Amino acid sequence: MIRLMGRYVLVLGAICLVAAAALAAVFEVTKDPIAASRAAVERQAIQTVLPAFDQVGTAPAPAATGGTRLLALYPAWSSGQFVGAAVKVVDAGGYGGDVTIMVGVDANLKVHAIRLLSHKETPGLGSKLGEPKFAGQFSGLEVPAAGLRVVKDGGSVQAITGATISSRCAARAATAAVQAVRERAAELAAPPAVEPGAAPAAAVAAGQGGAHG
Amino acid sequence: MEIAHYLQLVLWAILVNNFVLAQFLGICPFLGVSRKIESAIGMSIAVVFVITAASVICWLLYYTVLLPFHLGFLRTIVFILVIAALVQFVEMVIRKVSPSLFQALGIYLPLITTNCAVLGAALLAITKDFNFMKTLVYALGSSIGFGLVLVLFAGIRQRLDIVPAVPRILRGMPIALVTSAILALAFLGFAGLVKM
Amino acid sequence: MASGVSLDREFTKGFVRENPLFILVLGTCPSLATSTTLFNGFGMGIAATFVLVCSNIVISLLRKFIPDGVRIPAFIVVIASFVTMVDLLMEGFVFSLHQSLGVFIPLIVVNCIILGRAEAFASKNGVLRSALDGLGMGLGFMAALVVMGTIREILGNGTLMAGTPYEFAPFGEGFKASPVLVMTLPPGAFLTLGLLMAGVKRLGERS
Repeated sequence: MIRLMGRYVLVLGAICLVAAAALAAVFEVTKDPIAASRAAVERQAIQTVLPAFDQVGTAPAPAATGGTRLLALYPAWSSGQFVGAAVKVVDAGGYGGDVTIMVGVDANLKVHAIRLLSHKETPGLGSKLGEPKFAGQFSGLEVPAAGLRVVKDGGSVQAITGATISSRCAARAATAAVQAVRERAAELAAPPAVEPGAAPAAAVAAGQGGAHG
Repeated sequence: MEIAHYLQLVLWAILVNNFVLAQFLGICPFLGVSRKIESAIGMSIAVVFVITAASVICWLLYYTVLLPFHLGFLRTIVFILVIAALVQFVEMVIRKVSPSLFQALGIYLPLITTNCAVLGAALLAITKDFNFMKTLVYALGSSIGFGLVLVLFAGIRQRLDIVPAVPRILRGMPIALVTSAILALAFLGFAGLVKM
Repeated sequence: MASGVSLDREFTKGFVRENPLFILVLGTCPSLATSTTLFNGFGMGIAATFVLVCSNIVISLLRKFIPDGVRIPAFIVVIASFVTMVDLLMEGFVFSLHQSLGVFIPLIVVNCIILGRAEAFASKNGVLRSALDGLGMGLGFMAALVVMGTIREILGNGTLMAGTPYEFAPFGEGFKASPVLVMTLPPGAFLTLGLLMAGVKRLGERS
């Protein structure tokens, strides 16, 4: 009996050891590609919502306003000139819960573009948030003092038919993003004094914390 | 986090984001053990217990052992071993403590190890960054949702089996899947009921 | 049990005669969840096939060393290791596919097909036979997923090959703008699998 148990433990232990060693090896090999892919996804989202830039950093995101939280703020510069900032916003007021949107705010504090990152909205209705027909209307929008609103609430944003609640998320997210950039416009104007080549990748990787919900 | 929030989480897990009908977790037992209501109830009770216990244990292991030692990538292998051991342990305890309960649940227990809802619940609680209480409530809600749908479905299937109108070619598994489609369609109506 | 069966039959049995999804009704969770598009179904099929072949080979090699009493835990460790490897490799090299398959990659561990083949076949047969069995079953599973993914993508999304550079709209842009959305949602998954199963049953009865 004891000998049998000993054999069980020995065999299982040996298999586990080999398995763990093999996994550790694969983990080491894939660690860098995984980090690079994650950073690339975030960087691509930043690029699609901002004018061309050659340097991007991170700035501390301000605290939540109501149900809208700012996850990350990426200011961008081109030849040392501030071109705008991408702000990753989560709005909890969607029809199915959180809606995450990357909002690009240009140097004149207008919305440059928005991009839907993740959502739990109804497919075919709220999911149209990401389509150009809806998202495109935000490009070049100025945010009034009262904030962007959908037409139904007395604003100018054309809501998606049948998905007013989802459309409000985008309006709120864009408003919060522009306000956040406006508040710190002064400190974002000049890029941090680091060598331009090294900064972008590191900064984007550092801002990865909340990227995968 | 107040009570209302946890209640929302439970409702969300049971109705909006149902394991079987919205997330496709635990389909094998859903199709396999839904021929009779009694066996569906037995399976449900066993699953609720195992999912809740497994999620909580896995959560503790992940945050107290795996993460501090940077072994997060071993979670799949560790979790499945925890689940297999837990199922064995539960089987042993029930056999000792209550032979009658063992007779009722015994045959379902080995099936639970390969029920992807168990591993799924443990993994999802980690990917969703839930804290301990949320993990507990989420696992409980999800498994109750699984049980609810299993029992509902068993009720429908018992009747389906005696209906002569089902075309011969659809009998058995095909009609069960088509029925699940209609059930899933009905559950789509819960979307937006609670927000998470 | 298998000595009388020729090697090529060992390989082809998983395609139709013992198709894991349509005939044996195994691995239903990942097939319903990941067959939203052809490419997702294909990705899931490849991942499962890789795990199935590797675990079948290793288990067949180890079958004389593993005592009967700890057979199942030993198989699970082997399978879980390969699954984790696939998980890491896919996250590193096909990131967007990894994101869309989500939790169903680690859940390959509890895919009944894999443990089922380990227990019923690889633990009793030689390495070559086990590898062929795994490959055949895996490809049969993949084919089933691709069929489901194709149907659901064309009807539910109005596209084909979405997620690859070869994406096109088989029924034209008009249909793509307002497709039968429910097909990509859970009800469509159940419906597609149910009707396909009935179809396969019909074919089986004819021949």
